Amino acid sequence: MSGPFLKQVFNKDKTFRPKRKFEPGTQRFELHKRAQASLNAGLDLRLAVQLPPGEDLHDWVAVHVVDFFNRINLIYGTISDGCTEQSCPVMSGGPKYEYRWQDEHKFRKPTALSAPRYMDLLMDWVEAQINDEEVFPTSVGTPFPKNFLQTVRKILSRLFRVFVHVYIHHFDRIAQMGSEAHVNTCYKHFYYFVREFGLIDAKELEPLKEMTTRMCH
Amino acid sequence: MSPFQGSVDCPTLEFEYGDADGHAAELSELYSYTENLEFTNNRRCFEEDFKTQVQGKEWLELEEDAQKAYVMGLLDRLEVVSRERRLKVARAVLYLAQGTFGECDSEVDVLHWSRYNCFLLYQMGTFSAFLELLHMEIDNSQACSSALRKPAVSIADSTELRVLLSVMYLMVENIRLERETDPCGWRTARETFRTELSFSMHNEEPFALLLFSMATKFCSGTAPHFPIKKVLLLLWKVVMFTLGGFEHLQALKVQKRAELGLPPLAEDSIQVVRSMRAASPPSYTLDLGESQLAPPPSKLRGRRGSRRQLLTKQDSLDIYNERDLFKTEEPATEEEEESASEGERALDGELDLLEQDPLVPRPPSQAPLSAERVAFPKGLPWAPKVRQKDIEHFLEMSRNKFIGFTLGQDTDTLVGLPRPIHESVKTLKQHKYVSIADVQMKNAEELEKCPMSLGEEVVPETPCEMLYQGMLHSLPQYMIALLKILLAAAPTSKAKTDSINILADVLPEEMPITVLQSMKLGIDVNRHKEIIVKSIAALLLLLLKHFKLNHVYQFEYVSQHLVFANCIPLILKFFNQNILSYITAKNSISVLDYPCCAIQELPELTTESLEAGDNHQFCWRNLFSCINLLRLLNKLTKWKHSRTMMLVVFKSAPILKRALKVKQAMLQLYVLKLLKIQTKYLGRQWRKSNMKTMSAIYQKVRHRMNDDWAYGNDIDARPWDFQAEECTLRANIEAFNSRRYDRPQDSEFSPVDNCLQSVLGQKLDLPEDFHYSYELWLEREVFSQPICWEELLQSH
Repeated sequence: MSGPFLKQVFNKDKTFRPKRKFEPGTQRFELHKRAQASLNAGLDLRLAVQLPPGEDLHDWVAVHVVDFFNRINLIYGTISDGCTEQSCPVMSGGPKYEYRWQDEHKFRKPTALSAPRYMDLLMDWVEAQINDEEVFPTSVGTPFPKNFLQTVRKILSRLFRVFVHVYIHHFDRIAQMGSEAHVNTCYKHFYYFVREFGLIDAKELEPLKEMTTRMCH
Repeated sequence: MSPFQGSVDCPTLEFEYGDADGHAAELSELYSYTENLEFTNNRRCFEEDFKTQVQGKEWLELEEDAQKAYVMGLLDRLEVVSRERRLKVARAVLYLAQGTFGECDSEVDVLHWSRYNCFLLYQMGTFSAFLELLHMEIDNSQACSSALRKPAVSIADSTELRVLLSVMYLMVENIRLERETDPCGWRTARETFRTELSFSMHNEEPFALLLFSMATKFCSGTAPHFPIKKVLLLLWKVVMFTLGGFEHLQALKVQKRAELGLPPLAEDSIQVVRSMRAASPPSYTLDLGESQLAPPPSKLRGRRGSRRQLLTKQDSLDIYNERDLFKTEEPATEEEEESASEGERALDGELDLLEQDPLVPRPPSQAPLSAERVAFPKGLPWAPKVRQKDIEHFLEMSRNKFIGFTLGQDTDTLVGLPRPIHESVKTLKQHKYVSIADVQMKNAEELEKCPMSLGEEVVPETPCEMLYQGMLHSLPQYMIALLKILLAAAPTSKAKTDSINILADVLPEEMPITVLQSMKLGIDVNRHKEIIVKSIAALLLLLLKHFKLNHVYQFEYVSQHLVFANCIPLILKFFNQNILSYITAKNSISVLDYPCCAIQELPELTTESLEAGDNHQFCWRNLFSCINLLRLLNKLTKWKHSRTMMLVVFKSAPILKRALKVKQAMLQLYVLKLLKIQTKYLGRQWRKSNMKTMSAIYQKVRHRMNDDWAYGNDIDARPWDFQAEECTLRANIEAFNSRRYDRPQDSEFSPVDNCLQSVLGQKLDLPEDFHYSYELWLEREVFSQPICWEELLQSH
């Protein structure tokens, strides 16, 4: 465990830190790996995410970002009463990964927060972007900003973290509620979309790699 | 925490909603327990009078003719000057109406004879006689002033009125009730009575108006002795009798739709609500018994029409799911659909998390559906609806994006729009619902525009129409009076701040001394208030429903007055209490209820027996009132932005959520509807923390296609539009009322008089010296003025 690459990864200033030492996962953390149920939609999500001819890329991306935001918000909402300061004192994705929050206001440096707090800040932050006319213009004719895709990448990687936390820590609740299929399908859609347009780095996708390989082709 | 947590304690309530409670229950609520002593009084008055006319026999033993003869005589004896003697005779009549219980053995007997006697009394003209007396009592200024002078008004001050109103109430209730076994004569009598009350004798006005005016008089403070509970009960039942109850309303609606050429209703709402189940607390074990194999409803949506302004509004839950139920089975188009598949989506049950069978199987294949009417999908109780304006709006958005210009209200031209949009419009049209109100508003608009060519509207003179016409003039006062009383009777009201005393007809002359008496009075007072709330809530709901069917602007007129009189915060205030304990309140003493108390010896009451109450699961009238108030609130706020925002501003969401603890499907439905219209204004945080409520809304409330209730941001909350909305509505209402009901005035459209004789015959005011100067005037003003013919061609 050495080398410049890993040093970069373990850098304190990054918000995404795989933990140095970790215990082999307990059963709960492994649960999601066996996730399988899916809604048989009779349609191919991989094809569905492709940019239709004549459609503007930014438009297409923007619609999806907002959709995913709304959906992911609700998904988190269904298990949110089980995600507390006590149950999840740290925003983590299993024993291996931990997320720290950083923004332009209170948290100039990446700070470890409890999962519920992290989620709140995350959602508020995404919502603020979405409601910002300069980033997501509403009137027909107003163009998207030049760095739109870059902003979107940041949004989507952060939204991905919600999936990570929900799958790894709260999948038992999801299964209990019987909403496996729905959450999986939403995840698949999300995954295919970000893959299609290369909107999330491979290393960010690492925490759910096994599950993804199984679920998405 | 969660809205359903409390309901672990509350079992599902077996409640059957209807026009009113059971017959016996309704009759017993007429009396307060303090009045119980008067039952014996009535009996004595009757028996004293009876034995002067008939010897040796009892009433029940008499032949019908003899009974009729006796009643005729009794009514004659009513016309005496002495007030005391009149009261005694009135009490005798009341005893008859109460079922001559002295001669009965069982409650069933009492009710039977009560009904029999009431028909008899009616046929002998008792109602009109008592109506005269009622008028006299109302106008009795002496009674008013003596009541005003008293420091504390009690039940004794309303004795005469109570007897009169009780007789009338018993007659209305008994005759209103229909039984299969009723003889022909009774049926005719019922119809005659109904007509009489609708187009009443005095001043050709409906009887209900008299009762409304009693309520306003009471509220004005000039008649504090009026027994307001009886007035309101009678008013409610008279309206129900003359206009019809809920089932009659449903039948009328079906009929009216047919008359207007509208397609029949997709479902019978009364039946649907009856079969709905209350939402249970989230079950974490797989409750397969309850879960329904729900292929969630499909809806097609053009996703393409999605410039950013629709981003947050698009309900794209429709991406996921089941086979498209509405696709026509054409194999050729299948591939095309696959590639353009983002447009064809079925709505998923993503929010349907509670009752989902975890092993979601393939959805059962649906039988091919007819193109005209689409059957609504399994699993949800209501068929989705779309308004014409929703279709127009959707098309305008799409046209804006794809073509760049709009076509107004055209919903047929689809050229230039992508295929998915065509499909969407097709689905939207399949679910289009045109309400009677839509047609009425359109007609009203046309009548406004073309008064000459369309002429005067032909308005059928139904009881509802007559009532509205009669109420029109003082309608604001009537509504304010009803709401004032409702406020005073609400459990959350502090008695001190009220200017009206609604307890006048329940408080005994002497205040209670013992603990037992106090307890009894306490129960009596609460019961009294509950009954008042019940009658007002039911009355208002019935009026609104009837007026809406009759003409939507009549409904809007009444609604506006209710809203301006602060009905919305009043109802919210009412719900700002522990609803569960209100509904399970036990404010009744069954041994003191009529008819039980009339035939049995009153047992010893103890504080323990009073505390124990009855063994009913819940209080029927309170649950009934709650549901009606919620229905009322829904009717006032539906489709009205400004009023919906009032719900948000008054922070009604937590109050309404608490009401969800009651496990009764109908009540929950109306709460969920109120929450649904507010959801998009409550913010993401609320939605995130209230997923269970969101799920319940999804499952129980009718879906409106293209309705972004679950996601929308604050884009819609444009406050400056709301006032404009209310003002336009007000203008339309005023135009409607003046067009239909105002005396025709000199308007621009009155014809010009061009008959020479009559014009010359008109008297004109000429200045005094005119006959000296008229020649000069003529010269100057007429003969020397050139005629400017061009002016005729100019528009002014």
